[in-house]
Amino acid sequence: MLAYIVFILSLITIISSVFAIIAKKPANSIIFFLIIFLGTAGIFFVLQAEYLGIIQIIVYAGALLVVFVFALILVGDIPVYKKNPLKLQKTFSIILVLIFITIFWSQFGILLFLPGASNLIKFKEASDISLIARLLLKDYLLPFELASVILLCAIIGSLYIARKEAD
Amino acid sequence: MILTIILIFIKIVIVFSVVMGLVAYIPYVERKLIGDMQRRIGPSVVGPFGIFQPIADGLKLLFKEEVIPLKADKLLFVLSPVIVVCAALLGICVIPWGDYFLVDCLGKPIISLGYIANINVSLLFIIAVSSLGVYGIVFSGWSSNSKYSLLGGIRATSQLISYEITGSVVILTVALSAKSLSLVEIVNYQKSSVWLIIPQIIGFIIFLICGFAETNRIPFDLPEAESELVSGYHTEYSSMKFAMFYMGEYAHILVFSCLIVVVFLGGWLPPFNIFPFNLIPGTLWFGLKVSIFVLLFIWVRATLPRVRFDQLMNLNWKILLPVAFANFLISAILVIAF
Repeated sequence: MLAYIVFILSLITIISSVFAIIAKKPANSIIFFLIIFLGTAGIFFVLQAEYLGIIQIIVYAGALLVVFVFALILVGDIPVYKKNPLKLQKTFSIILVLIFITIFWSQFGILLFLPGASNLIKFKEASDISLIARLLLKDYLLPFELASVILLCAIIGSLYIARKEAD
Repeated sequence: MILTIILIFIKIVIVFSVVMGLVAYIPYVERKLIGDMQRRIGPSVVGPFGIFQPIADGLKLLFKEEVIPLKADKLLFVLSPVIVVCAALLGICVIPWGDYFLVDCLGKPIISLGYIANINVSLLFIIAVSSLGVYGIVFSGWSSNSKYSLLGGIRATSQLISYEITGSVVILTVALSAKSLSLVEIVNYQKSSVWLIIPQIIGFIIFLICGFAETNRIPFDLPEAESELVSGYHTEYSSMKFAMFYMGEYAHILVFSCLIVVVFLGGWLPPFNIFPFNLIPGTLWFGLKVSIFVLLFIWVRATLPRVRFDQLMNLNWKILLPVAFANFLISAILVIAF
């Protein structure tokens, strides 16, 4: 039962990620992007890692993608090429993706539908917030803080670059 | 197992129909009350006291012609009202609306709890789901291909994003005081100590203001300011799609009222746990408190004028957010100290 839900959600996620790449209009890409994030969050939910799923929605769908939407509104419509300049690459990439999907699913699908697999793919610990907090703020405090410092540097750097052009 | 699933299904049906009925009748109450406040009669023709007005309005909107603008982005244009309604309604499924109660099921009693789903991060779930409503609004503005819609959409997005930050900080403060992110646990905490409105009165006021801004209600209804933007992001919508935006707005008000009642006003708990109060069942208390907040929304709409956009942004970034952060820090220090 659980495996089927994960299977369907991953199918939706993969198909919409393909559409997010090949969609002609940027706005449609954003909608498919939204479906990708929601599908991933759904997989987390099925695996009983509700916290991760919700953080996925808040951070990616609620914050990151809105920036894309703003960029889309400010830039306006990007002219759509009538003739695709990357025709050769497109054919090759479709073939490669199909090969990858066959390999991946023939392995992953077997794993998923084994008897007892539904016990394997539950990770109840991931929904325990205090456990996650202990890991992040006690055991792995230094990497966590380093990541936040890197993010701060990125923000300051981008502000600096943007300001230089304005002056 | 099957009985539990059937019970959950019945609960979903009941909660959903109650919510949809309220979403239909809050506009009626609103029109009637605002009529009273402005010394008019309000809806009075359809049925006694105009009580069938929502049904008549719904039927009228259902039979109206649907117009999709020629240069609109069809997919997004159709999809965005759906996103608005879904994002507003999804939050209701984690709201606890009552204590446990016993259901007599084929002779043996089963304990049923007063919520549809209890995930241990339900407070975050509501924030996450309501943040998805931005997409419906911004895409409806963008896909209509009209300048009024676009301006309304941009205004709505910047307003929602900025007030969401302040609201989330307040939510964090509350979670810190109650030491849990689960709404049921927060109510249980309030049962053992006091209602969180007493220690968190500053947070309560800030959260209430954020609620008005996030539901796009007067005095913060700039995205649909009639005097400047016709009717904002849903200018080009007609028929049922237009009705769905209204459903989304009223469902959002309802979910927000439920949330603020659960978080600050003790959910289903009676105000004093003494004789005459604890006779009334918890769900009734919950409904009473929620209706007070819904009436507050209507009252404010009849009372206050609309603010300017720079006033709106200044209020959030220069006053509410610093105060919310200060409140958060002080609460954190107090929680650690005691």
